[in-house]
Amino acid sequence: MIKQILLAKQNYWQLGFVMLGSFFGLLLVMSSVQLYCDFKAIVANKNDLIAPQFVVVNKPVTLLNTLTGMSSGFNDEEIEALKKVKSVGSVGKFTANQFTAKAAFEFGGSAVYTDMFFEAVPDAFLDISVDNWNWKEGREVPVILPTDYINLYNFGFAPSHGLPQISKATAQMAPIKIKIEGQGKAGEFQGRIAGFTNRINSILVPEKFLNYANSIYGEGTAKKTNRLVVMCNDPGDETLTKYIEEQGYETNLELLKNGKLNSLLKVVLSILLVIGGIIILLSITGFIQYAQLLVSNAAYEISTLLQLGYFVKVLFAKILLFYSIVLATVAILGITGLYVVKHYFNAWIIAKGFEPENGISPLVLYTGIGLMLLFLLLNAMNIYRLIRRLAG
Amino acid sequence: MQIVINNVVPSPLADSYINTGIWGNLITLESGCTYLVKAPSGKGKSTFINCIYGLRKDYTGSITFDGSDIKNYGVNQWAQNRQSELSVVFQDLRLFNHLTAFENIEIKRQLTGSVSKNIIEEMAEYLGVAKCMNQKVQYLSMGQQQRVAIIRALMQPFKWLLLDEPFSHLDSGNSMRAMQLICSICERQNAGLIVTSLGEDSGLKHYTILEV
Repeated sequence: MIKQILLAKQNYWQLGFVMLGSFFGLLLVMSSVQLYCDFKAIVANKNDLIAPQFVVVNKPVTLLNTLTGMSSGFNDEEIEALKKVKSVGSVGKFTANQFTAKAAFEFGGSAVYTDMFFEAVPDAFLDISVDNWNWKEGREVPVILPTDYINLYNFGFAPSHGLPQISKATAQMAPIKIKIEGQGKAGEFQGRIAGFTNRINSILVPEKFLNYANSIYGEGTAKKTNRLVVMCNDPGDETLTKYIEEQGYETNLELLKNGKLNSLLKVVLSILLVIGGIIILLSITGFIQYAQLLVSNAAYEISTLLQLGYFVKVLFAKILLFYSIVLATVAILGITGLYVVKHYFNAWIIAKGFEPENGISPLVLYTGIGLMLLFLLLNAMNIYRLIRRLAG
Repeated sequence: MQIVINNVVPSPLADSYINTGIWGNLITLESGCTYLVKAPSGKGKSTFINCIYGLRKDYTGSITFDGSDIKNYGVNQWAQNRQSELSVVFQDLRLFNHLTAFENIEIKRQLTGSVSKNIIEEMAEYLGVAKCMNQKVQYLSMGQQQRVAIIRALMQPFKWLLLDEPFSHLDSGNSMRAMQLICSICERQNAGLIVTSLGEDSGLKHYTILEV
């Protein structure tokens, strides 16, 4: 009955508009946060042999290197400094072969001999799904090639020489003979292409194999580290990108691109967030004005109830309960709306070949619910103040 | 509960009051006693009721309940007082027009829960408003509304009952019955009674007159 007295004179149209406004504001804010989470997931999900958070860094080759014959390697201080950059998890050195190597690729009866080099990175830096990568003596040596190599062959070399094109799967079936010479010794190993990567521009073999071969055929002195593979914990963070630019290092551009795309997306999402925030702010104002109207329309009723001996807190609780139901409705509609938006967004973006997060990120729900609680708090304070004022 | 009115002058009357009556003097209202505040219109009878009921604070001097100054009461204490110490029939009644007579009374009864529901029917029957209990207040006559407001005021325990021209729209027969009911309940609760009136005492007995 008290509720009936207090809420009898409200304008449901006005309430509807305020709810609609806050619904859109909430939906926009939650969608922006969800988009951000999706983007992060897309960046993190890109499956390749080397995960996107791994970036290869090298020093630029200058004329000086060419003239002096000195290679542009990293010294220990430089590596240590790189390790200290924010968002850098760990830094792995490329190991190079210290012997001469030749490989014979046999395609359909004809063999191509070529001088080779090998490099290795610590296994932890390879997001590897290659069989037999864990090499042991006597086993086949798995080799990872850059995708560019097979592309060069298929689209450049083969057509111009009248040779058949080779699929990746076919290439992986072909055995490779690896001949190694050094320290007056020579050895031959069976190898096989285990996979292709377009992230690392090198011919990779297991570190174990390279260490083994270096120990037997190597010159004994480790070469300067020419390239580093850096694990970046947060590909979206631009600190590393900036550091690499400052130091004048070169890198595979993927991360830089991601970094730039990321900051662009951050700008777009920030704009969405700001617009959502403004709508939310307006709807908070709307709710506060609505409360003012509600209380002033029922001023006679409220002050009479207070004069009859009703406690301020009792009337406050009744109105707050009504407001809580209204805000909970907005929250439920907003979250439902978000699921609908997410459903269509997923369908659309999967069709574009991306892999977004499946569900709604908890962060989004926390944001939405947090906003609604903030709404409730602000309105509660306002409503209490208005009723308290009528109590004299 | 003893009410002491000490040198009270409402601000609007500061220049025009004559200190022969309740304004500007020391008046002690003893618990359980009956007082009739008699004056023509515009002399501040309602102001007097409102000051005691805590609705007006724009006065100089002090009003105390058992020695404590009511100007120091907070909103919660007033709410508590209005549930258990003071009850009132306002001159303008302050009923909820869009609720029925019964609902208007029930609002107060539910607040304290001290009176059983069938008492409402008995009182309505006694005062001759039983038939309009389920009608919306806005369709009732002023006389019926006054009786509804009186029943509402009796739906709680109290130590003082304040009636501000409660019978202004009632004929003498109905006034008498209402006064009988009020007095019997005040007696039962050992409560004091303050009635304002233009002059009629409506069958009030053993009362002290307070001039304004």
